[in-house]
Amino acid sequence: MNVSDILERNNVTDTGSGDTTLVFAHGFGCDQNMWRFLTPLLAERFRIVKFDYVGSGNSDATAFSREKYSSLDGYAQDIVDVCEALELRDTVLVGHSVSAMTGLIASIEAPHLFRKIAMVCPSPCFLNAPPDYFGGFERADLEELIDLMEKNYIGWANYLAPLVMGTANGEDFVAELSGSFCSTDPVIAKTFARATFFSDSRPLLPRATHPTLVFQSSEDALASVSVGGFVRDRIPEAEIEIVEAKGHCLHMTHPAALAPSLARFATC
Amino acid sequence: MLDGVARERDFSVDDLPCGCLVTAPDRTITYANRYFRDDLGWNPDDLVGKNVEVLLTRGSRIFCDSYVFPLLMQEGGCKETQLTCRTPDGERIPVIANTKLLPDGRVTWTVFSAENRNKLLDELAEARRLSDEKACEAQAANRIKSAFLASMSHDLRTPLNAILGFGEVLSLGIFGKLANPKQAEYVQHIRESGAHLLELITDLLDLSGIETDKPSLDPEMLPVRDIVRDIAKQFEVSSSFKKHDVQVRLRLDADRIYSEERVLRRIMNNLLSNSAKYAPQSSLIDVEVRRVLNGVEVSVIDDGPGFPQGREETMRNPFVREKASDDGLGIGLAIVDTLARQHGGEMRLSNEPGRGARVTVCFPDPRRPGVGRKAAAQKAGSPARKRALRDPGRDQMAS
Repeated sequence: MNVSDILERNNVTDTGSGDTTLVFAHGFGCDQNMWRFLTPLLAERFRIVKFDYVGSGNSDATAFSREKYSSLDGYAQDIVDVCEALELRDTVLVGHSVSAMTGLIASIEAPHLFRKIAMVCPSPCFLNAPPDYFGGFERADLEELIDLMEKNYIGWANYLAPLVMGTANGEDFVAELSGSFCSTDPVIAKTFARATFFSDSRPLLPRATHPTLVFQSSEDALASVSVGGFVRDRIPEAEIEIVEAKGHCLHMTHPAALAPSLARFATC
Repeated sequence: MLDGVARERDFSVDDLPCGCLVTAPDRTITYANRYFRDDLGWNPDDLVGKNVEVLLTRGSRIFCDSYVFPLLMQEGGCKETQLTCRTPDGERIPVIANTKLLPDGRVTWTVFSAENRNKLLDELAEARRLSDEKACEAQAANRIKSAFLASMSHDLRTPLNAILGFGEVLSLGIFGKLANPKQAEYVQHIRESGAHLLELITDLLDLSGIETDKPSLDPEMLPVRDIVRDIAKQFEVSSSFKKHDVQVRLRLDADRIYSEERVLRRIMNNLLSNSAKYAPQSSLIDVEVRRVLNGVEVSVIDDGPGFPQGREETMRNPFVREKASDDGLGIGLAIVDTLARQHGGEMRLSNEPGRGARVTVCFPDPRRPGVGRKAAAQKAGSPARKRALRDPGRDQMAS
């Protein structure tokens, strides 16, 4: 796959200017538009690279492969592909939620591409694993989430078509996605959801080789403060910054709190 | 304030048949109407001051964090979101929520019970799951059937070749002349029956091969007049035509046809064999080749009984015959149908007024507007081709 194919496949946007490049990897659910409140605060000092994972936002959904994107490795490969396509080196990767872990995987696979990693509301594992780890959720909770996703993003026409056609759903059957924020094909969304919520990246944390900054929301239903602390404790060179906030999207709700810390972290 | 405005119109927000909720920017509930007490068991006064997450199951909280709140930030609202509320007793109640972001950062919510909708969605999801499962089973069964046909046909053909070969040796008198005319007649019967059986087995092999391998075509422009004349001549001297004194009449109004010669011959053979089975004594079979808007059509018309009224379409299915006593397996037309589709064309079955059956095969010409791309896609085995090919289990025909 050549450079322009990757840039188009992942809907890569390359803006801002500066010696340091910040690569923004969005989390589960939406697309690179999630960063729109934060990146304007950084664009004067940094080169800003944003992208959509295959299947999200305005990426090329025809490039989606259930096999590839059933694990976080597939998404990590998207990050590596984007960096290589732009010939980036020593970037600072900013990953939200699950992308903190896909970014970590990418940094282990291709360490030369990154210099530092900023994790916004990370969770290495959403499932509880008592007695040592409490990701916050039981399997039944996450199955309920998958069920809700199916009901909310059923995409009626696409969902019914196989019933009419009598064919098993497959990768051929890629819906024409609307450009709307957060809209996505239900098959793709479920694949991403399963990869996100049923992965356990805890064993990878000690393998991190880059300085890491964790932004932790003080009240986050998805990634509690104890989870953020777990990440900080397991990564060899990590610090944590707890932001007084409610919710899982600090970059949307508290961009002004994140921007100065992120700028300082990226430049020092 | 909400109550005050509503009371001026002689009703209260508490009277509305839906839950109304207001949350502060930090997601704290600042107002909840009586619906939450009547339908969800919460005391509205107790809800005020609590995080809205108290009303939601854990799965719904993730959904709100992943979709609803980002959408509110991005687009100012989020409509028709299915969530699951929980009662103070832990009961789960499916609801539909609409949310709207106010300029001051507060969020207004309306919540409706969605228990019936939820059941329908569950049933739909189950129907979809069963449909996918059945489709997979059907495809697997069809693959097994095709493999069985191929294997069985191959195993039958091997001993049959011995029967035909030794029959020919006897008939030619290589090891001595037969003792009397009766023996010669019976050996001839053996050879004819063997040849007929070989034809049937070859058809089976062809059908299973087409279904399992779906060979791509390598079409080119062919001299259709020469090929059709050649095939017609072969048929006229064949025993089945001579026995019933059937003749072929050609009407050739096209010079070139876009096909592969092997495939075109197979199609013509099957069409003429099919007609020959039903053509009455001393009758004519017409073969028409004519240009149409998107290519060339080949039709074969006979004076037989035609297709049963209203069942024309089913006669394209494999192993379907007009009568159980008819010769053959009923797969000749099924093969034609599949081959026609591999051309990007089609086979049409109808009855000719005043005569018998008319079978028409359309061969699209890629040089005609709108044809080339489709044919090319089919040749390349693209998804378009996969969709264009019928499910092998449903590709069929009668002969």
